[in-house]
Amino acid sequence: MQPFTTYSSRTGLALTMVLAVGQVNAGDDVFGTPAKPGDDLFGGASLVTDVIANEVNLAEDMLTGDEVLNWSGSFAWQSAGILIDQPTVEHDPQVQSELSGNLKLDARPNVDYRVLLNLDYSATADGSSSLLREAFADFDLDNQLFIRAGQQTLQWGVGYFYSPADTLSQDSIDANDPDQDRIGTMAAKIHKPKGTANYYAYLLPDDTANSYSIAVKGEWLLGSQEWGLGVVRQANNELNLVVTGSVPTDLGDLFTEYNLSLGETSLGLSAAGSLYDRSDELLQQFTVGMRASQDIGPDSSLSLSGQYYYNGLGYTEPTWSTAANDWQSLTLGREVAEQLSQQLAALMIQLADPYGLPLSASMLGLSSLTDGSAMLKSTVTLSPNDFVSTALSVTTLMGDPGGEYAPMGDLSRYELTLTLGSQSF
Amino acid sequence: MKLLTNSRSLLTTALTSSLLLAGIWAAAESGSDTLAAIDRNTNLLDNDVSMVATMITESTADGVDKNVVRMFRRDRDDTFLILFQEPENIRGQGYLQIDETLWFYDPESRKFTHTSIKDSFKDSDANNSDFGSSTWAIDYRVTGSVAAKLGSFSTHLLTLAATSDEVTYPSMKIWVNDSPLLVLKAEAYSLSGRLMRTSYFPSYTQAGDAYMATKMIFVDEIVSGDKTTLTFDQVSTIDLDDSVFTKAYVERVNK
Repeated sequence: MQPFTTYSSRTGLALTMVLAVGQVNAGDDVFGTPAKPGDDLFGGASLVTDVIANEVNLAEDMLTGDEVLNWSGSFAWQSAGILIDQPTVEHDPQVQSELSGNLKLDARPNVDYRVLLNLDYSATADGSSSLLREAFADFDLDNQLFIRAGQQTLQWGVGYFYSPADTLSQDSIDANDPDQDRIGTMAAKIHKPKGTANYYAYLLPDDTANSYSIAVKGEWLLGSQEWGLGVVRQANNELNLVVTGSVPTDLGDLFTEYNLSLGETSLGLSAAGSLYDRSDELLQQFTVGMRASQDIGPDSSLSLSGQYYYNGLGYTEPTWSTAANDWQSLTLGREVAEQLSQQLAALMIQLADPYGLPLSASMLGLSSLTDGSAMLKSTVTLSPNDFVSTALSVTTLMGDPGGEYAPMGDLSRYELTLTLGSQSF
Repeated sequence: MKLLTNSRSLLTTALTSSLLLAGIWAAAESGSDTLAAIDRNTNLLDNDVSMVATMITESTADGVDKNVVRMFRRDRDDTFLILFQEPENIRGQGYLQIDETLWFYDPESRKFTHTSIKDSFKDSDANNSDFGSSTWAIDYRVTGSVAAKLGSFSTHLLTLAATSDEVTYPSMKIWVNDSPLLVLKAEAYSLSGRLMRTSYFPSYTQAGDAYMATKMIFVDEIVSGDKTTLTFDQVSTIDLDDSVFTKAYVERVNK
């Protein structure tokens, strides 16, 4: 009997609770406190206002903008004090100051055509310089094919620190600063969205080879995942088959790239320590990584990014580090892989606004698993407002001289930076 | 005799339980109909929707922040696009959802990165999931329903439990206006039962048979004083070109 009595009591209690909840007047309860939003929110007679029938096409309106010509840009003055601590070499403290920014001119004469110029500028005590980051025209054919011609930032891969699938961009990702803007590549891009898929074709002139690189790629959604498959014929006749994938998980966004290449022009390194032609070999590159972000308190978040890269173009024996002089004489005037190490890894942890403070902190670690060199950079930034910020960073390089991430051997670099007037307009 | 008493008690308990369970089941049935009706009322299956939203985020830590975004929705394809117009330093950033995939676009790097529908929207108290089509009937089941008054409106207070872990909050309480069936207020709870956020939808506009909230207020219940208010204007149901809900459009409108 006892179990049923208990059950009846529980159901009776539940029923009582349900009835009790039914007697709660939510309006009175919630809207009685003046500080709470909601006061008078639901006091009116009508919930639904008249139908709004605005016939302006906001989507087309965005393609033309308010004016045909639009300027925008950014400005910042930065001064940095730098100290380098190296066991074998004495370094004087340095001060470097720079005024830098960006200017953009966006011309949109009609909804089907626009031209964009994107220029970086900088000035130091030694002089000034400018760099054309992008210059391209956009137009479309019947809103079906979207064409961008000119110097443009290409998005071919999905990797964060390393992107072996991106064989097109002239300016590859800098693992030291993966969020840094990249310089555009001269190309004509045709983009065809179809349903949830995207198809791209690229034509890239190569003045050195007096030829063109040609690339095609498709991207497809599989549930919440996105996969891409591309083929590239480089101007030097190298062929690449690339696969990219982005897989959202409960922990974060998983990304992966694969590149199978034939016709590599850089030389291979044999076990005996000699260089050889490998243009008829199939070479593979592969990377996998993850990015995750988590709110850890009021207005603060913790982000984690990590990536492993198997660089099939690189070499297994770290001769450049273990026998630097031999390596230099061996490779003098000969083409070797741009990234020497065969295995690389990167990890970055970022903390934003801890405890609601105007602080951010980050730690970046890069390592060549082939030659054992590593770079560790820790940065703390204080930004009390939009116009002023101060950053202190400590960079430690570890490894034998000549190593991928420690070209000068063990070294520490301390940098204190003051940024003033930083603003976008 | 004892056996008889026990049998009667057993029968009474069983009957009571059956009636109660039947009542709960009926409430759940009616509740799921209500959720489906809310979805029908707030999803514009025949039209595209464009609007300009002004978002005021009040934070005890960061002060007051104003963002202006343009929003485009195509509920029949479960697709939306949000593009920031103000402030200038984030102009052009955007969110594009196609099917189950949500991308964040950064115009500086010209990169699309995957992001989660559960994440907060641009450091505000709103979530990315607040801007998509209404999916109450898919995401939640009703576990309780009582009549309740909210200001001058007659409502039903529904208690909801998530049907999967794909949703932002595992349990909710929503105050549903009796006619038309529209959500006026929602409380979101964590797995431990802690109140995380309260949302208010005090005004709607009508387009055809469907309704759209023209004001949303999201109150952070964890950090006292933090809230986000969204007001929508220039609402239009004009048909949009298919190309608007593509990566190509996001790239074209950006500087």
